[in-house]
Parts: sequence; C-alpha cells; structure tokens
Amino acid sequence: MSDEKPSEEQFLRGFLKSEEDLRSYARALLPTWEAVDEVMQEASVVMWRKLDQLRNESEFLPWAKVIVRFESLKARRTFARDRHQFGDDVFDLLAAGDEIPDEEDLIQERQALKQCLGKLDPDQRELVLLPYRGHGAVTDLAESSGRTVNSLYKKIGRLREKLSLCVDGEISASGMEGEFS
Amino acid sequence: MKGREYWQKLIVSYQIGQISDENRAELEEALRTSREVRSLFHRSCRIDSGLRREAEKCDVDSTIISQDQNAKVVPFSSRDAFQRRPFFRGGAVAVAVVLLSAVAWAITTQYRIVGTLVSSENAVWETSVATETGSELTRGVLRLTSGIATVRFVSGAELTLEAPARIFVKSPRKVKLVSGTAVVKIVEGEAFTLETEYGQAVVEVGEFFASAGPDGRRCDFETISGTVQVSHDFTREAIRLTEGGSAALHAGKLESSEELENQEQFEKIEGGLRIRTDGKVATFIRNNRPYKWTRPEFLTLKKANFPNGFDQRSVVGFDLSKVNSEKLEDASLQVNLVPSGIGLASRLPKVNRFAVYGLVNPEKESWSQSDQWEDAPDIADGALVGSFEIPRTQQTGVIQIGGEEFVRFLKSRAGSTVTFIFVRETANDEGAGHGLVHAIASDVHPDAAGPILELVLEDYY
Repeated sequence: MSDEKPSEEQFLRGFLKSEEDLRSYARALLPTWEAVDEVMQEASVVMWRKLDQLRNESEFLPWAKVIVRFESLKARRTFARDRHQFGDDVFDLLAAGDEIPDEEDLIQERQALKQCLGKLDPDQRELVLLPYRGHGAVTDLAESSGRTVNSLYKKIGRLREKLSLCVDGEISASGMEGEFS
Repeated sequence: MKGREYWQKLIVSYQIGQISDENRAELEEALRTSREVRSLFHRSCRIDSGLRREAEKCDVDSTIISQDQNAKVVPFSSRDAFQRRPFFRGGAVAVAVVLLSAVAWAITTQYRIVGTLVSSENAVWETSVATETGSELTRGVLRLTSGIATVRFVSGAELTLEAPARIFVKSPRKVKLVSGTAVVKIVEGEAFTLETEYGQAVVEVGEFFASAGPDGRRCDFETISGTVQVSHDFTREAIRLTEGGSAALHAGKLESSEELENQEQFEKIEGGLRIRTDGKVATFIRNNRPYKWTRPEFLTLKKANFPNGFDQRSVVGFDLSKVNSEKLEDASLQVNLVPSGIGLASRLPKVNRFAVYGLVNPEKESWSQSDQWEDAPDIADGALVGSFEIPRTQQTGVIQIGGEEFVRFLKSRAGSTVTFIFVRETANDEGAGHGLVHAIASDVHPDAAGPILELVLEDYY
C-alpha cells in the first residue's frame, strides 16, 4: 500500500466510486432524502477540506463514512422533531455498519436490482420510481388518475416489497446467502 | 417470530414515509435488538438509493419505454404551427391561461426541443421522421439505420451519430447510447453525459467517441481532446481519460487503456470469442511501393479507371486455431471505415461496391506485407464471402460482414488461420483528378478499432 497522499484527481475518483455507498449509508442514518442530500453536500465539502488527512486512496470509503456519520449526527438536531428519526442508540448501531456486506456482494446486489427493475412492467417501473421524481409527483398522479394518494402509496409499497424479494431471490440464486435463511 | 417479509414491509413503509407511529416504534425496537433486521434495513436503504439514482438517470426512459414513443424530429413548419397556438400569445386571457396551464405544460414537455439536426449525410431513420438539416429534435428514442447525422444540443454539445445506431435522447445534456458509434464534442457550454448500458462518460470541454456493440453490452471510449470522466454503474470504478486515452465499459468492469493494450488477441465475450488481427494485416499496391503510398493505420482500397493504375487491396488475418468448427454457430467480421485523406470523393461513382473474399489457396497462406502485388493473395485465390456498398459521401462507419456463406467459410477454416481479402470493385469515374482511396482502420489506428471477428460458439460462456 502506498503512503503517498491522494491527489485531487484520486480524491475525485474515490468520491465518484464511493458516492452511492456513502449515500446509502447516510440514508440509513437519516429520516428523509432531503436530509441525506444536505448531509452529503456538507460532507463532500469537509472531505475536500480534510483531504490531507486521508492517507491513501484505498482508505477513502471508511474515511469518508466517518465524515458522513459525523455530519449526519449534526443534522439530527435539525430533524429532531421528525417522527421518523430513530433514537441515538439505534443511530449508533446503524452507523457502525457491521451488517454492510463487502464490495463484491454490493456489486452483485446492484446488478440484481437492475435485473429486477427490468422484470417490472413499464407502468410498475414508473410507479416505483415516482416518489423520487420530486415533491408532489405521487400527489399529481393521484389527482390526474382519480385515485387517492394513500392507495398509490400502498401500491408503491407493494411494488417495493416485490422488488426487495426479487433482489433477495436473485442474490440467493447466485449463491449469496440471505440472513434469514 | 416475525419473518423477513414482515420487516421488509415495515421498512418500505418507513422509507416512503407511510409508516404508522406504532409500526415505527416496533421497527425501531427490532433494529435495536436484531442484527438481521439491521442487515435488512441497510439493504433496503441501498435499494432505496439505487432506485433514486435510477429515477434520476432514467428521467424520461421509463416514459419512453412504457409508451413506446419515438423521438420526433420536428420540421420547422409544425413547430411554427405549435408556437402559434393561442395560449402562447402575450395577450391571452389570464383565466384561460390558468385553466390550460396544466395542458400547456404537458404539451411543452412532450415537444420540448432539445437540439437541432445540423447535418445529415445519407441519414435514414427507422421511423418516418424528418431528416432535413435544421429540423429540431425532441426527447425520446432515435434509430439511425444508415448514414451519419449530427445533432447540436441546446446545451452546446454536438453529437455525431454513425449508423447503425440507437440512442435515447433524455435531455439537452444527456443521451444514452444503446448501440452504435457516437462522437461527442463540446467547445463551450454545459457538461454532457453519454450513458451506456453499464456506465457513463461525462465531458465538460473536449471531444470523445464511444462505440457500443449491437447488444450494447460493451462500450469503448476514446478521448480525442480535453478530458472525459468514465465511470461504471455497478463497480463504481471511475477514470479520467485525457487526450488519446481509451477505456472500455462492460458488465464486469471498467478497463483502462493500459489494460486494453495488454489485452490478448482473444477476448471472451458472452457466448463466444472476439478475435483481433494481432497485426496480421497488409495493404498491397500495384506499383509495389507501399512504404510510400500507404500508412500503417490504414488498410486502403482503390481501383483505378485505367489498366495498371495504382490499385490497392488489403488483407486481414485471424488465428482460428482455438476454434472448434463444430461449435461455431454464427460469426461476423466488423471493420471501421475511416477517412484516408487521399483523393477526391467527387471522382467516384455515387455508390461504390466492395467485395470480401476468404482465402482458399493454400499456397498464399503465408502472406506478409513484404509480398509483391503479383504474389500477394488476390480474389482469384479466394471465395466470395461478402460484399457491401458505400455512397461516395460516406467515409466513416462500421461495416459488418456476416451471413451463411461467411459462417460456412469460417467453419471450413476453423482450427487454422483465416485470411480475408478486401477489394473495391467499382473504379474511379473518368476525368481528371485522383479518386478517393477508401480506408479501413487497422489495429494501430488512433481513433477507430481495427478489424474484429466475433464468433458465437455453442455452449461457450
């Protein structure tokens, strides 16, 4: 392992490579995507400022997670009244991230998700992605289709469950064991 | 004991903001006490993150797919008609504008202009869309079946597409290359993203080309100028390509130019093999002075319109020693047509015909670049395995040779080496001036890939 400090280019490469892992990690610690976006923005600025603390490129992800964890902790104060926020002890358990699989399994999981998304029919796929298409997207669809927001969310929830089970199935089929097996 | 599906349901409810207080408390307790539930929670967060990314990435993809809606190239006339609609006029009644705003939004979104077709060389689109220069392009799917077309996006990027190619135009700053070859150029303007099946390339200022196979599962990139950031969707590998740098994206990984240079002549692909010439190429010229009239990056083709003119033919060889003929199911030979910079296209017939012969004369099998025109493999030494035509206006593009005759020939040669002889059958037109010399990229061409033989083999994974 090289002891050379990572260059700005190496930082950029490390950040791009780890960004989704960091985002997923932050999502586990924070109650909303808005909170995740704010934390990721702050954390990336801190990472850039503290780049000289990073010993080498291969240590980027664990180093960056520490920063995301700290920034998430700070953000919790802002979202203290959010009923979705878990207690400090649960935050610590999730932040420890002991249950996060290794890189190889994560790659397999991403591929499984892509395959499973491909198995949904176009309308289902559009619906399951709808909550990420900005504020009010689900409400807009409910209004334009004459359905209730609640019924759409129920359907989205069922599709998400179906997708999660499909990912489980794809991973099990390829040899990665499930925790509940 | 509550099982995985129960907790999964609660976690999803939590993530979409629909969980009751009672269930949230129950989930929190489970997260506190169960490693398995925490593991499930982390996985669900990764799926949540992946879906969000997919929604951002496929902003219009899903709509396009679900409606099977093709992009439209809107001619000036229809656009003008659209702009003349009453509710776009400044003096429209305010109440009507309010009432119609939702409808207007839907229409303007559907027909939002993302770019303009600035050049079209014999471009034929699979759908019946207008292809005249100056037509404007909306978001959606485009299939170019022949020719070359260049689109200038409102973001400032310019995309040149070489047929056959298929793209999803997602926005003025984002296009997905499904298959085919594209050149992206930005002199000034906003950053542009070219997505592929397994990743993407982002350029701010510069020029690069990307070439995706017919199934889109592999895409090669090369930077012509500036800097391009290429990243892999699954492995998260990323690389910055500076001028001359190249990379390849496929399901398993992102390969940099160094890895590509070290790549062996034989490359396993899904269901078969991809074979390169490994430098076994040559161009022969009738005056037997190839060192003066040909260049190593080109395999040139010419037929003069008078006897003993400086005709040129090229040969390419592949090693099939590792191929079992009984396992060979299908095959294709791909070559890239590139500009030679020699001669005038206007001195050629409007359409030029080419032929490809498979060498069958065993006495000519040990050919090399040092052979004389008279001794080198010629069409009399081979069997016709394919032909193609190129309009004189076209100097770039991918040419693919395949079919039953081609496969039958390969089967007869499996287990040994195989040589293909390329000739131009049509001669220059009568008159003054040198006719264009056609060129195929060799393995050392700086921009385009050299000849590639792809074999589909039975039970090959």
